[in-house]
Amino acid sequence: MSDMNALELDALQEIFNVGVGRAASSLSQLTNEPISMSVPVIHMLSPQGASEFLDPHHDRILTCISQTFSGSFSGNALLIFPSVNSLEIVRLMLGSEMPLEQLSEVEQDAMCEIGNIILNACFSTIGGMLSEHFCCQLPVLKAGYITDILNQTSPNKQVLIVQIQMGLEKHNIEGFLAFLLENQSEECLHQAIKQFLTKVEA
Amino acid sequence: MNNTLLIVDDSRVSRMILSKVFSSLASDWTVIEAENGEGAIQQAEKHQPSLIIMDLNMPLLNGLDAALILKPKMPNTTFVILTADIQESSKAKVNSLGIHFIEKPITESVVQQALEFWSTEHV
Repeated sequence: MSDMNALELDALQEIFNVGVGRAASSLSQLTNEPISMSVPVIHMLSPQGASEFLDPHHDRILTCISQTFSGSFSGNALLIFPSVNSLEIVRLMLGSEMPLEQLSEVEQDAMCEIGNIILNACFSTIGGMLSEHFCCQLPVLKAGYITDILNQTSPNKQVLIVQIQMGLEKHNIEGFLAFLLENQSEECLHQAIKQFLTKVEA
Repeated sequence: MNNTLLIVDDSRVSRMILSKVFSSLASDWTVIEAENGEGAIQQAEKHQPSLIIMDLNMPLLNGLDAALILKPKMPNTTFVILTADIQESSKAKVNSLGIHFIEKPITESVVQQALEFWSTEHV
C-alpha cells in the first residue's frame, strides 16, 4: 500500500478494525469467552517477509482457516491459531461434556465453521462500510508452518497483511486474522477507500 | 456558553466521521479532538467538555482507563465509549463502571444515542 496516503491507510485500518470487532463478537458468542483485540497493523510484505512477521521463529505448527473472497478486490482471509490450541477452541465451542474422542472427530468441521462465521462477520461489515459485495468461497482448513500456509495461499505475491491479534484471555490462546490481497486488487482496494473517504469528506 | 464534545479516537477517519455526524445533529456544540487517552486527559482538563465520546482500543492509554481517571474529576460530564469491540462482556464491563456504550460503525443513529445519554443526564 505504498501509494496510499496516511488518511487512506487510517481509513483502511479503521474499516478492518470494525470488521474484526464484529468477528471477535462472533468468536466470543461461539466460545462463551471474552476476546481481547489488538489495534490493527497493516503491512505490505513479500511472502518471506510475511512469514517472518507472522511467526518470527518459524517453530510453531499453525492451524489456518482460509477463505477466498472476491468482489471489487479479491484475495484470501486467514484466521490462524496455534494448532496445539485448536482442540481447546472446539471444546469451548461445543462444551466440555463432549468426550475427547468425539471432539477430535469433529475438530476439523468445527474449526471450519468457526472460520466461516468469523470471516463472514468481518466481510459483511467491511462490505457494508465500503458499499461493496463480496462472494466468499467455502472455508479451507490447513495446518503447517506459516511458510507452508502462505505458500499454499498466495505464492510469489506481495501480500497485504492486516494483522489483528485476538486472544481468549482465560485460556492463554492467541490467534490472528490476516488478509492477503492479490496484486491486481491493490488498486481496486485503493479506489474503494478513496470513494469511502469522498463520502466522509462530502 | 456552548456545550463542548470531546472526541477521542486514534483513527483520524473516525474522528472526521464522528465530528461531521455530530455537528449535523447538534450544530451549536463546539467539537474538540484527541488521539488517545493521554491526549483526552489534557483536553478534558483544559476544556471541561459536557460529553466525551471515546474509542476503547487505543495506543498509550485506552478509552476505559482514561474515562476512569477523568470520571471522578468531572461529575457533570457524560462519558460514552464508542468501539468496534462489541462483545457483550466488553459492554457489560463498561456499563458496570457507569459509562455508556455505543457500537461502531459510526452512524447517525449511533451518534443520536450518545446525545440522548447526555440529554438524559442533563435534564
